[in-house]
Amino acid sequence: MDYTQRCFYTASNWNDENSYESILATSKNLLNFKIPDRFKLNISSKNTEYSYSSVTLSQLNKLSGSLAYMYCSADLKDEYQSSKNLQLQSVLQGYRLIQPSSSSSLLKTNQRPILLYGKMYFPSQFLEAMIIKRISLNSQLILKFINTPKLNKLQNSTSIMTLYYQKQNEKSSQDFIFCTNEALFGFRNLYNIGNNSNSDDSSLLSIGFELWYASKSMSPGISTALRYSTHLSSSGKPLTMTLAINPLLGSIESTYAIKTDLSSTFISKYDFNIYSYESDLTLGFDIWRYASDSKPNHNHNQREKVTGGKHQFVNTSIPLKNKNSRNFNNLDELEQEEIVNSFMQVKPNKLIIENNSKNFINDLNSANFTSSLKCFTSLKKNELGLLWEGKFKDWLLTTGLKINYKDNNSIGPKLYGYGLELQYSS
Amino acid sequence: MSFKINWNAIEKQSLSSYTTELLNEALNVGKRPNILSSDIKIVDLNFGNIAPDFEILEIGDLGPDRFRGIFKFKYYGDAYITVNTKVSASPLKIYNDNILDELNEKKNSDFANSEEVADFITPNFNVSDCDFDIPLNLTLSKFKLSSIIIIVFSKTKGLTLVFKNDPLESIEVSSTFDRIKPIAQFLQKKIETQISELFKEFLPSLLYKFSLKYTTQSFDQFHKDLLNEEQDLEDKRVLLKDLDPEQPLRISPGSLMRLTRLSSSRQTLALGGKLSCDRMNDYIVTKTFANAILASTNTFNLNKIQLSNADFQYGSIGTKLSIIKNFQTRSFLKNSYDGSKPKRRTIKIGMKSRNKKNVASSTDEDSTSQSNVSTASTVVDQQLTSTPIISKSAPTSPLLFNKSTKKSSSEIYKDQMMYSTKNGYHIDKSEQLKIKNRRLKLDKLITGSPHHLPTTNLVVEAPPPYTL
Repeated sequence: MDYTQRCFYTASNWNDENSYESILATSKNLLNFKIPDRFKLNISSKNTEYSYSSVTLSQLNKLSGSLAYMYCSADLKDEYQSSKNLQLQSVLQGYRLIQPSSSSSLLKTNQRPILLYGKMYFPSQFLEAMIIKRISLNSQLILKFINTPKLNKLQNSTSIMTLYYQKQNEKSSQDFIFCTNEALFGFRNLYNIGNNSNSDDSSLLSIGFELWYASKSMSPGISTALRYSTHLSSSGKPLTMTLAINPLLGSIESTYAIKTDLSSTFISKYDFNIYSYESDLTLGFDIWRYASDSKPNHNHNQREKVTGGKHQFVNTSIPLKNKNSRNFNNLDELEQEEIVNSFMQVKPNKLIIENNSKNFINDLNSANFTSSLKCFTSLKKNELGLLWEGKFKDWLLTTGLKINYKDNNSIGPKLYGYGLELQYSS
Repeated sequence: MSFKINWNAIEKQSLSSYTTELLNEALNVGKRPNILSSDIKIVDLNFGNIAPDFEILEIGDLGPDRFRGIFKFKYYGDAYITVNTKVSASPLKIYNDNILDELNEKKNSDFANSEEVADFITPNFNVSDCDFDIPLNLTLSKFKLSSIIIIVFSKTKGLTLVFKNDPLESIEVSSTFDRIKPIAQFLQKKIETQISELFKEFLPSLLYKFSLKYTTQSFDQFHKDLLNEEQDLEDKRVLLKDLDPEQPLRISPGSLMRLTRLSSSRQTLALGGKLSCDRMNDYIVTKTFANAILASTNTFNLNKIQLSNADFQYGSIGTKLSIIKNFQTRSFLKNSYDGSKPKRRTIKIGMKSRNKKNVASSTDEDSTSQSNVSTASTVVDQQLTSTPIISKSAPTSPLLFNKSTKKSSSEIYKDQMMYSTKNGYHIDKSEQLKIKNRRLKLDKLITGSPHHLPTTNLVVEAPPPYTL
């Protein structure tokens, strides 16, 4: 579902990175990833051009499952891939490459695409539904709704509705949220400061905040965060730094994540509370494994072919940028001169950086990974989590476990949970 | 009637730690509320030095293995308890948890669904919902309680306790948030309601659990636990034969009967005073207990034969008289070895009022001649002159056990002998006055309405075993 939703965003040119909600996405993906705690089987398929369905069976103590249907008015044939052809990096959540949204993110057509989604859990008969409607070029509406059945007369059914109204442009994005549970109001705002389309610097500085107020329980919430993401000038490796502060509760959270290689990421997070002086250091990494037959090619000449593929870098704000990705030295003198003349205001140094970073991304997008291993450990909570995700034939496998290696009560490590998840889609 | 509770005996390390353990377990049972981020721990528990007041209002049912009564309970003590926990002060974290809880409530049995659904519906907070735990120390002191309580105890079913009204009068709450007035007030109010809830529901169930431990496991052990420390400190356990080591079986059967009688009467209220001789450990007779028996002979003349109105009405007077006569004759013969028969007047039965007096006068005569026999006219004590146990004015009264316990058994024995010899051979004026008084009382009783007769008097004890 998440995958299809992302496909929908891509198809409708909506940049969900450009939101305060995802400002800490990298650290969440790498340090707070969800570990399956049971056996789960998920089969989904694309029924027609516009409709998708999915069945999930899960077994812990008791068999349960869910059935989901989705309708999407936009054709996702370019984005949606069956698990056979799926690129792992497009479905697995890891390091988020921050790409500044640009003015070119126009809708392909004048249509206002809509996504309808419904899911029924059984045997609990919980119902969840979602509507995503693109209202205008720069705004969309998301409505989420859950309902629990009234099984007997004594209990009431629970219905919660959450409404998001999101607006974004290349400079900023705003979210207005209302949730019926305890009448929660929320407002999120994000400014992209460093994003200047004219500069060739790929770095991006974003500052945002969120405000929450649950009016029934009178519980407030506030946080503000800063994110700086850039690429190393020498190798084009992306790195992201974030600093998030909750002034109400006095907690400061800083993360530093770097993609040390095409196939590995390292992240560290430091929490500190200025009121209670509690602190925590969390470390995490992920390692990707290439398919045995297709090693990544570091030859720049060959990369050119790949860039023409469907995972082309979306950012096309600078015309002729793709041309720049050619090895400058390989061009003949006339061409070189032409380019230099046309980009006199741009320093070649910057171009190299730009190229490096772009090459890196392209490499990443084209790489054929078969599996990934994620690991995190928290020093204060004494926790260790492991997650392996990979492709086995046409199936997508997810397995992981979480342990507490120094529990006070029990001798030896304590196992929180482990599980296996199988996914197949066609 | 009220109790004096030996509060210091309760305040023992073991009981305190046991209660702490029990409370810790009871406080953390079930799922803890979202606002608490750690378990509740009892840091300090002190029972204080001031004992609660119990006053008996009514005793409904009384037996060796069951008890039901209504008490007035009052406690203005200095007990205190300190509790430590962590409070989650992150409102949005609680918000998230509440949604999950609500869904969990609705689900049939499976957890997974509600987690997924909760994930789906809750807005993704970034750092707004971070953990923020505030350690909270809470001290409750200066309890002021007063209530009417109903206690029902049964050996098999344990102890049930019910408060008739809200016992909490006032309580002092001090916490980490004392400086912040609104929170302190809120806590005070909240805790007051919680405590009264505790007395209404939680404490009865706790006591029930506590009592079951002893009723089901070993009642014997419970008694021993409660008693043994003081027993060891103050008195050695004395067997009955230690009283007179030379002739251990010289205690008259009458005295033995008194012993059993006394011990059985003790049982129902034997909650662990110094005087205890319960059925569980009947082989133990403490020294104080023995002294108490000695002392009680003044008031408990259980093997007396008493004549009452009923006897005259139902005609059993003849048999009783013959018993008395036999006894008197025997004791007379024992004391005077000259073989002469005792003088007796013959009385015609049927003349009630005179009969009574005649019997009295006859014993009066006897008493002058045989001195040691009981002085009361209608009452004949079965006893021997040499029996030291029965003394008219033993120094031990039930209220003065402590004093008497300090004396050794042999000393007491001597004392008894002294008294018996002193009183045995001459009746002084005061003695005669006593006799007169008793006679007057008896006359009154007989002339009065039969309803006023104490029923216990009507019960004729088993005839004394006068073959010795």
